Amino acid sequence: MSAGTARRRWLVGMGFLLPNFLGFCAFTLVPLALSFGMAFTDWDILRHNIFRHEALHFVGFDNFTRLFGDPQFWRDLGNTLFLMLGLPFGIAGSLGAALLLTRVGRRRCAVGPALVVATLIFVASGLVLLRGGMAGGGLAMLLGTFSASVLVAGVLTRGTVYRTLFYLPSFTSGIATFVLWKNLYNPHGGPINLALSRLGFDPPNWLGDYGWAKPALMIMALWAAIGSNNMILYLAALGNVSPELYEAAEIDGASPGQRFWNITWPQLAPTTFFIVVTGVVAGLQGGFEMARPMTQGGPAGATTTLSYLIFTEGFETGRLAYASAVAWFLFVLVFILSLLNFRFLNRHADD
Amino acid sequence: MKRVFLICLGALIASSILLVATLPGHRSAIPVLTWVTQDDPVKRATAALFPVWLAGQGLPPAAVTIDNANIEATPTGPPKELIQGVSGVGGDLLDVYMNQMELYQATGMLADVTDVARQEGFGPDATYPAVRGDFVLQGRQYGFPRSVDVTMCWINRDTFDRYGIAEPPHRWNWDQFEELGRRFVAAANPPGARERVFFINRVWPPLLRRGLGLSTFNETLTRCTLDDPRNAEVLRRLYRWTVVERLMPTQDEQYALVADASGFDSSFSLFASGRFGMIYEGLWALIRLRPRGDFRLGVVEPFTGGFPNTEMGGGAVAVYAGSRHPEIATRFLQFLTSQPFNLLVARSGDSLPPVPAYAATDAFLNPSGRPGEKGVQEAFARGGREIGIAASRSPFVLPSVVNRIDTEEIEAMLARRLSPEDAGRITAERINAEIAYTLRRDPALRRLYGERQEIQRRIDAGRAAARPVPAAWISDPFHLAYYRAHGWLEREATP
Repeated sequence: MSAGTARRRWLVGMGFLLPNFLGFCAFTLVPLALSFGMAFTDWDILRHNIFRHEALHFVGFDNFTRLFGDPQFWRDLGNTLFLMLGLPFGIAGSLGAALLLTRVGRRRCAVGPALVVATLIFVASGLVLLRGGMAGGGLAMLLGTFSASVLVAGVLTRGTVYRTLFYLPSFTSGIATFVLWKNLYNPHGGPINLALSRLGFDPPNWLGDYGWAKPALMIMALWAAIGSNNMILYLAALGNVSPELYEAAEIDGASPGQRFWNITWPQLAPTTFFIVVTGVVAGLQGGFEMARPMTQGGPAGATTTLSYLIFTEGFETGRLAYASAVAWFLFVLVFILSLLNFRFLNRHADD
Repeated sequence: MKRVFLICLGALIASSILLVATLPGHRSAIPVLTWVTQDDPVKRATAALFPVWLAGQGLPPAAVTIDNANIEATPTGPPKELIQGVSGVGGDLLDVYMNQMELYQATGMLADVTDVARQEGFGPDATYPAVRGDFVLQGRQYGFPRSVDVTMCWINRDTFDRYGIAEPPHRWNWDQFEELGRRFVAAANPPGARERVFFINRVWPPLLRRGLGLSTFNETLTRCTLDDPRNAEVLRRLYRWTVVERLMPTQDEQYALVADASGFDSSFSLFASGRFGMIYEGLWALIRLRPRGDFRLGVVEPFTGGFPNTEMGGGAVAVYAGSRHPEIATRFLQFLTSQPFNLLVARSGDSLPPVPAYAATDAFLNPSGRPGEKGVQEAFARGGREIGIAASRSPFVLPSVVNRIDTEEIEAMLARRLSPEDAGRITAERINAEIAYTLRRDPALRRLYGERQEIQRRIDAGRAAARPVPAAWISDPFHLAYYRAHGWLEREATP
């Protein structure tokens, strides 16, 4: 290849890369550097913008000093960490879902039982229709038919339909699912509280009660986590576990529990490690998108997380410098926790 | 691959050119103002009326287009409008609600129209004195109201009839509210009832405080005064009404009752369906209630602890400082004082017309074909004249911050995490800390603060000696009204 051709190929390659690189610089690198610098200034959108040109002052660590002396910051940090307690449950949920879906995919003779169950659901729905009339009965029929169709379709497609349905929360718009959950949590007539009342419980005011607001958001996050990308990662990882290992274990007489703990779990360790690291990062940065439409950070700040604080300080009060300081504190926290994860968990993953 | 890449690039460039070419300003031969506001029939009619008015005045033609994609009217403020504004790409005309005026003005993104307003007759005198603070800040005018709202208690008469409860009197106090409310919720919520019926949707805490003669701030707006024992009394009542008697839902409970994020619209559907006996809202509620059917509606004053008062404010339109058509945009503010616009507002039921004289017209008082609304408009006009007071807003702390802190501490009190006394004390401490923080950073405000503090010392000394004080010393709208009602102002300063 001549020097001219090589140079031309290099230029073409760079041409392809340039739009992406420019986008990265404009929307990531430069704002990142700016926000770092901003954290050490008194940049306030009210006084420093295209209409007001007051001098920007370097204030050293003032914003960080204020941060650590602010009781609201500690409260919001506490809320963030509390919401992260749901992370292990989310991981367990996605692993459980992946294991179930893998089992469905492996079974070959489940069509018969599935058809029996579907027929029973049809018959039961018909009986409900006869007894309850068109209003309640029609809905039961609809739900029954839908459930039966899903069941049969799932078995016939060897789990593909189930996988799609489980993955539904991931490709449904976040705001749509939040609206759905707000209705589910409705304290007066929401399906969850109706069900709890019928079972004899005194149902809580999920989103309006100080003690219940955080758990309510965690339950919703758990639902989303079960069918998340983590499930897809686990499905892929499970597919890579060598069947010979299970066959050997079966020959040795290992129980299903022993097979899981001694084969599946260790084989999934690298995937679990990746999920824990990304989960911790997402957990520390998260909370805002849920809390904003569902609780607006309330009641009494019970669901205000650090990301919510950044939004409030940056765009409600215009204190961009202070908001940047919170953001960089969050970065440091994420960095330290990720280092700890790599230091202590990676060892097990490598094992 | 290279060809695909170039085709994509070409398509994107062509699309961008097409997009720019089809923007309203490029398509039209006349200037087109962009008005960042909600897209509703009144706004559309206003936009259609403006060119007609311009032609009638013999002024050069212009058009207005509504941009409702960039307005985010939530209680916590509109980041989109703000960010676009300070970045130099705001709309020519901006809707500015009560809690946003200080924020926007502080950024410098609103055009100062003081001089032209005086010349063209749309200065502060053209509208209600109570709402001047909503568009005049530190003596300078930054807009003009397109609507003036007074908040009153709406009654769904059918709901009261259903439970056999007498309607409240036009002027009533806390004890009457409590007594009537207790009977209402007892009748409306038989044991085992699945869905809760409330007496009222909400109350505005400053209204209750003002009833006891307490404002959020002192006379010069330099210090938060919510550590006062009267605030503790208000919070105790609020706790009793919300948690013990269940006369009203908590704010979060109200959010949870409906799907939309803010819970803003929920009151109307719940009021229409009889889940709320009353709602505490402005006249604009008619816009939301009319599509829900014909109701027999009544309106009474909000219940108070002694000093009758209610919330009054103006939804202002302001000219963006970076507008490409500042002169035409300013004409739009003048148009808001015109007869066609004020009659449009009067007929719509959206609010009181910004020019007070139009609230006395038949178009406003007797809307045709609405027998269920008899007396409603008159009650609002009277409320505006007699008891309407603008919200207290300090130049030293953003209203949205005050609102957030106050809401958080009230919620903490309702959740029994704080006593009423502690909630009041912490609220005052947090707001005063915000004031101190602002002053540390803003030298211009430090000067103003020093001047105001000196005035405050003189007011305190005057009041201690039972001497009247000049009205000009008092910046807080509530204190001004309260001093006036009690004869504490110097005679020459009273209207």
